[in-house]
Amino acid sequence: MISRKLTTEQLIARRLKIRSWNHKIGAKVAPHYTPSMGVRNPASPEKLSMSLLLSSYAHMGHSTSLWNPLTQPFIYGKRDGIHIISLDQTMVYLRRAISVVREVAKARGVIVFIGTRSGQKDSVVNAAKRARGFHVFDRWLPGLVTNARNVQGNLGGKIVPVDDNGRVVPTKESPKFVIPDLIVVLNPLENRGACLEAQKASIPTIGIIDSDADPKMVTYPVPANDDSLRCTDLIVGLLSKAAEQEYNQNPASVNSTASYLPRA
Amino acid sequence: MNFLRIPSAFHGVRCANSQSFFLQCFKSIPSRIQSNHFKCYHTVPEIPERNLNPLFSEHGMKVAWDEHQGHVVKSLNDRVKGTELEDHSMFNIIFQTAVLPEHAATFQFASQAYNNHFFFESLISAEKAKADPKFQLEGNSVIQQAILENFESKEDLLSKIKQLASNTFGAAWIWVVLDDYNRLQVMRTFQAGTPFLWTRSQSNDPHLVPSVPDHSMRPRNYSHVPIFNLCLWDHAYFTDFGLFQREQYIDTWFQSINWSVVENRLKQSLV
Repeated sequence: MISRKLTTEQLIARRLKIRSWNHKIGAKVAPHYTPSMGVRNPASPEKLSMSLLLSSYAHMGHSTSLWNPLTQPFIYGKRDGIHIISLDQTMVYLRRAISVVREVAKARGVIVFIGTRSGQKDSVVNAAKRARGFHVFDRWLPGLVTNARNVQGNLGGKIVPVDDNGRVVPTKESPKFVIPDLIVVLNPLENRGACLEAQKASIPTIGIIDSDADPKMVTYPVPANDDSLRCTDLIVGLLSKAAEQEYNQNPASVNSTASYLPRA
Repeated sequence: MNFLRIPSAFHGVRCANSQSFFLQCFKSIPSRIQSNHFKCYHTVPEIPERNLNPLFSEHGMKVAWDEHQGHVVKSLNDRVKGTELEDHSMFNIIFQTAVLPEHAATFQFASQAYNNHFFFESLISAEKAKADPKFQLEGNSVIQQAILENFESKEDLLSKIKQLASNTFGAAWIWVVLDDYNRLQVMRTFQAGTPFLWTRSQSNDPHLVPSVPDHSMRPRNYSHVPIFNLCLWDHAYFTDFGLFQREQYIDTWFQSINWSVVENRLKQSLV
């Protein structure tokens, strides 16, 4: 066991290694929220409750002067110059969105998560991995769906069927583009193009609708706060966890050769 | 379009009247100013074995664990309440506060809480240890090999610890640590020092006038991973053994070590 002097890299690796069991020593820390927890290990749909939404600031709408009256059914009231979103409504619409994602996952559909605000990248990428779908965090390129043949071809990368052992299966024709079966948008107000393309291509959309957004832009609006990263991380985490649970019930059919979902 | 990509509280805030401006800024930060602090605190953790009979009687356990750890954790809570450290583990708090003079007391409490829990986690009652081979040194190959490589035998390790203990006056901890050559070393920290940080190991006797500064030796960063320790604070042994019977206490302690826990720690620290 006695060895040569450990290099600095090895010492640092050791320090990181002992952290995992050393964190528990000393005292029990009360359960608390950290942004990395919300991204890496989000709440699953069973944990959805009013208090969870409240603690994630899902009820905070935008200023009353920027109100879109179409969101009137979702508003609870006004306070301090902003509209307060009714969490009763949020619960109902969010539950509906979760069941939509579940059904799409059951039918092994392709889900795309779009979150273009700064700081949404990590949660959107992890959500896509969990739900075996695709992610967009920089900019929705116009034509990704309606002009898929050209725009998706220019993205680079290939769609390659892979068998159980990870080896590439040679096929005569490989798909050149992917049309999603469901689009989840975290800020539909800033991704108008994505919503319109989805409408044109008859793709259902789930979107976070704040008090200044248009609920008609998406198929299944989820009235919530789109400004708070904690709230958007929560919602995208819930939806992706629902899909993951659905896949875990029957992992063989997801990983088989016949499946065309991206690898986890 | 968000060209700058700088996370900012002003994102999406449009200049309405001044009232709503700040509220909109608050909207995008999960604000801790408004949250209720009473639920965020540290609590005394559970130890695997409460019945440590020859080493700690019922009353001795209450003094050394419940009361002491309770006091230390409560003092830490009072000091850390409202800051960002209240959500961090002891391990983190030790590192964050070690070099800050205004948080010196917080460091002492955090370090003491860590040391005490570390100590009690590695203990098991002496009868159980004798009965079950998986708690004994012979049943755990990695730690046994390590001890035989570094000290001639188990008894040699005990005698080295006793020698160091007989030279210490006052409250101290004696640690067996893994250094940067993957050797086991016996080291001592007075009061609530920690072996993790060289500057806070407090290894020099506080009763001696220091002729050399405490960390004059070449600082070894990241080394010293503690494997198990011994509590030489008075409250640990005066209820059951008497104020001057440290030797018997150390003998009983050596028979009460749960070597499987120590082995786990060693296995998880080797790289």
